[in-house]
Amino acid sequence: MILQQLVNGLIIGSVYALIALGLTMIYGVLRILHVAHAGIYALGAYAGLVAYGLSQSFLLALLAAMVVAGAAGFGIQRYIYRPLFGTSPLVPLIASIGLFIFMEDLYRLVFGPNIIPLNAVWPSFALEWRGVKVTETQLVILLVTGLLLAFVWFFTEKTRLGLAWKAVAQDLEIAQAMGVNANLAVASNVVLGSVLAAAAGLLVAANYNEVYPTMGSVPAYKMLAIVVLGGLGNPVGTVLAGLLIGLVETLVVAYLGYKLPRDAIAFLALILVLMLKPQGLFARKGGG
Amino acid sequence: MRVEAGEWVSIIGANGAGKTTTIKTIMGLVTARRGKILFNGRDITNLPPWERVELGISYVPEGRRIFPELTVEENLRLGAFRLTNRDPRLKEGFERVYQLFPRLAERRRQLGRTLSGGEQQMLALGRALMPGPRLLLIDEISMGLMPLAVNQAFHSLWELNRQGMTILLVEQNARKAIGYATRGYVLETGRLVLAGTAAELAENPRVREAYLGG
Ligand SMILES: Nc1ncnc2c1ncn2[C@@H]1O[C@H](COP(=O)(O)OP(=O)(O)OP(=O)(O)O)[C@@H](O)[C@H]1O
Ligand SMILES: [Mg+2]
Repeated sequence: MILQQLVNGLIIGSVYALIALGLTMIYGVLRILHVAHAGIYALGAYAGLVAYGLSQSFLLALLAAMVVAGAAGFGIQRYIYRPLFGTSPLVPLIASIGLFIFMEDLYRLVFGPNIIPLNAVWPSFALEWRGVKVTETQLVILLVTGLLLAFVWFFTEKTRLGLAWKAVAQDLEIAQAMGVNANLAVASNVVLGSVLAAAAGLLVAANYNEVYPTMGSVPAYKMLAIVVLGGLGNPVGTVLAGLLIGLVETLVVAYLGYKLPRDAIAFLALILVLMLKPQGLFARKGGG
Repeated sequence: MRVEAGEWVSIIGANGAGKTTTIKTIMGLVTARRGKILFNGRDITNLPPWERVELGISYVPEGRRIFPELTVEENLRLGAFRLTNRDPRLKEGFERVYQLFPRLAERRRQLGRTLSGGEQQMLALGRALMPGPRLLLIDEISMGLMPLAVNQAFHSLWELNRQGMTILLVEQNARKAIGYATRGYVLETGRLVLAGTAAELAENPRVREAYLGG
């Protein structure tokens, strides 16, 4: 049933796109590989878990996850990355990795090491068309990722703030001299990126019905691979790379069985692309 | 160092004399270790660059530094970033710049990096003019341009100054910089060593020997 696999692949790919898009946006303006982004992803799942438990509303849980993650993203850029500005790029990278480990341990301390089920229930509205089935959870994922991706596109292409992000990404100093408040541009960018990661975390938690401290570990590696595949700092390329990895993974698992561990595929693709086209699959000509 | 409203002041000095550093400090891109910067009597020493823009200071950086992956129009839009989309001054800014440089209007949808050097210099100047500034800070307008384009660039500045724009220019091309200026300063290894009217500097034997080629 190839059509079914394509649908499944695109849906998981859209979640990858969501988390990786946040990472690539943040890399674009800060030039930092924000590894702790995967910690924000797990934070979104935990915040959503708590909020869902309190409200029994997935929409409220999603909003809570995004607010908490946005606040955490703001704090990270303000109190960790900004003071490290102007140091060697390795310093914020190491800080970010350290922060990620700290976050995982914090979740373990607060929520315990075990898997907690989210048990999200929604009215049943699964779709079926010529044997292709889309579950309720999948529909929710499609809807949320679609809306968020459209929102980010609108923001970056149609607003002054989006223009400021592009300018800061291309030349921070000159952007400031043109009147762009760099602090605000960086903060808003990291907040939005974190909101995306949180939504992705909660969606995945709903999909597999599990929340656990290290749930960000595999996405951490995978998002890095996707962002590089998409051509670091290139949002459109990153979304395409996310969808592509989701598709390829699903198809390989479906048709080749589990001979290849699913999570290794992103890295195989990464190695191949780095050998053949090191600027990424979707790098713009001459772009940096 | 002083610049009066309506003046054209040029700073000349050898490579590494501190000209760019001076301009960047006025713009707020480099923090002043000592001293004060006053603009219209207001102390701006500790203002971030984006707030200095709002007061009416505009900057044409060394090496043009236009945004390579943005179109001509987006580059100009950034020049007036502080204005909202609905602000009538935005439209006026575009009209003013396109009138001054019709070539930019023809190329408004083109990416910055695809422009020729001369066009990029027009864009860098146009971008700085977008918000309708009171003071233009210009770093090496002649850099990398053919003599004809250098003449055009200086002519544009002369025209702007004649219409009342205050200009602080930093230049390697001392002959032109002094030729057009009201007054000038000479920088050597980070120190102000000479100040005077354009005529005084042009007559000064030290300046003649070191910067005007005897
Ligand atoms: N961030 C920095 N750290 C250390 N030294 C610096 C820094 N920026 C500039 N300098 C030094 O300060 C001196 C003045 O530099 P500046 O760029 O202002 O020179 P300039 O007069 O503009 O020269 P040019 O004509 O070559 O553009 C130079 O010796 C330069 O190496
Ligand atoms: Mg210089």
